[in-house]
Amino acid sequence: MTPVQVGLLAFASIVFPGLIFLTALGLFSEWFLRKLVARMQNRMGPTYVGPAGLLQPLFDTIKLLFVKEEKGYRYGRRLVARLGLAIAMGGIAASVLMLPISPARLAGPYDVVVFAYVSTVLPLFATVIALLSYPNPFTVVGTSRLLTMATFIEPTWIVALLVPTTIATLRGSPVPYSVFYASIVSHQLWLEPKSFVAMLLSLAAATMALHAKAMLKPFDIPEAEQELIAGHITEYSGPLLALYNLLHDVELAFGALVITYLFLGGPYPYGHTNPIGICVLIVKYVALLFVLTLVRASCPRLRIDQAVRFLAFVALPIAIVALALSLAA
Amino acid sequence: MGLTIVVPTHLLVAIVTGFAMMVALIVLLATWRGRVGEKGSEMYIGGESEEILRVKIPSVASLYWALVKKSLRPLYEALVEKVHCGILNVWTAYMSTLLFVLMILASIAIVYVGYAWWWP
Repeated sequence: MTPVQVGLLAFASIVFPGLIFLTALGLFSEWFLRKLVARMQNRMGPTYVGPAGLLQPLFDTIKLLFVKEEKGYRYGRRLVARLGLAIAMGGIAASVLMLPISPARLAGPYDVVVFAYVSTVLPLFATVIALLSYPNPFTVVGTSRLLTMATFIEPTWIVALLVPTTIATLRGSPVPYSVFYASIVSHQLWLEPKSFVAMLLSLAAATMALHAKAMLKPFDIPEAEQELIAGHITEYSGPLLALYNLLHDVELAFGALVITYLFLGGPYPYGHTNPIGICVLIVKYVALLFVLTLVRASCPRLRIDQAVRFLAFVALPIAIVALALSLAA
Repeated sequence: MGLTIVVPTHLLVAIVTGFAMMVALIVLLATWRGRVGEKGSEMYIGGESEEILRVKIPSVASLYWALVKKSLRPLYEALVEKVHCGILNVWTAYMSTLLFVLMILASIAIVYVGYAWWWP
């Protein structure tokens, strides 16, 4: 690679669509979810900071980062916790380099495996290490619940991601099993009956997996406040809590972005450089957030065994059936 | 539009992991400062004293397996009802058949790989 290419990739991973853009998108997504859930439940939601409370998540983050002090926890490992959360954030920010939204994209044969490793497996393990570095009985229970759900969420998510890449590969993609090449043709994958069914099922499975990954109701079991105070983040405070909240928002934004590109065609029928294409992209992204919000606002929290049963016997089988259909398509 | 760089998979792993670590370092440095309070260094256990921790707490791994086993109990029960009849001979016949099939598959694989190796 030339120095110019390295510079462009560095810009993409730090500024757009990497760290800074994902953070802004994550904060917007949090505001959208909070505002919409509040309106659905006949409440006001964020109101005071910015127009319609738009800047409330940003101000909450700034407050935690720069105003609030961190609890000097006697059993905590500050460096390990921050390193874990930072690595998780880094993994997600670097994964965006494999999506078409990036001005400099990376692709390679079977890069869906690399994508799954950097965007899913690495952040999960880094987050668990960060959580367990501030031990507490509530943290132990919350983290065990998080891991239990992740055992079924992550396979569902990865199998769902395999569906469009498999169909694109079988249709003669120039690079096999590539997230980027599957994303730029994803709108065409809906055109045949067999691949249509596979795409529909995988979209449903991916949406369920994202909902559970983001720990939105009914899957907010690791931090069930009525049972576990704050669950896995009971001992987090100040900048550490800000970093965790940011990571949560970034994960949600990234997951929604992946679904928008891999399943919904991104800015199709327009391009990224077309203003209408950008509007189409935003509409698809917001529509997905709306669906997540609707489920969040209407469902009560599940018990952990109910959630795992749902993921293991509904979401995961749907993803596996979709993958089998994609191989037949 | 835009620049698309196609690289071999092993190089892709190295590049993406490298950028992930770079961003992680930036995040770490950007959020490092912040005051650490003197108060509240004790563990929050819902108002209990830390003496309560002398009572054994199940580990994350134990809780994990308990939750998985509880959640997948219908699957285990269905398997037990279908497979387990309590007669040892039935189990032996089942396992022998399974191992026989696996041996045949392994033999085919060895012959196939050996053939491809000797006569490429």
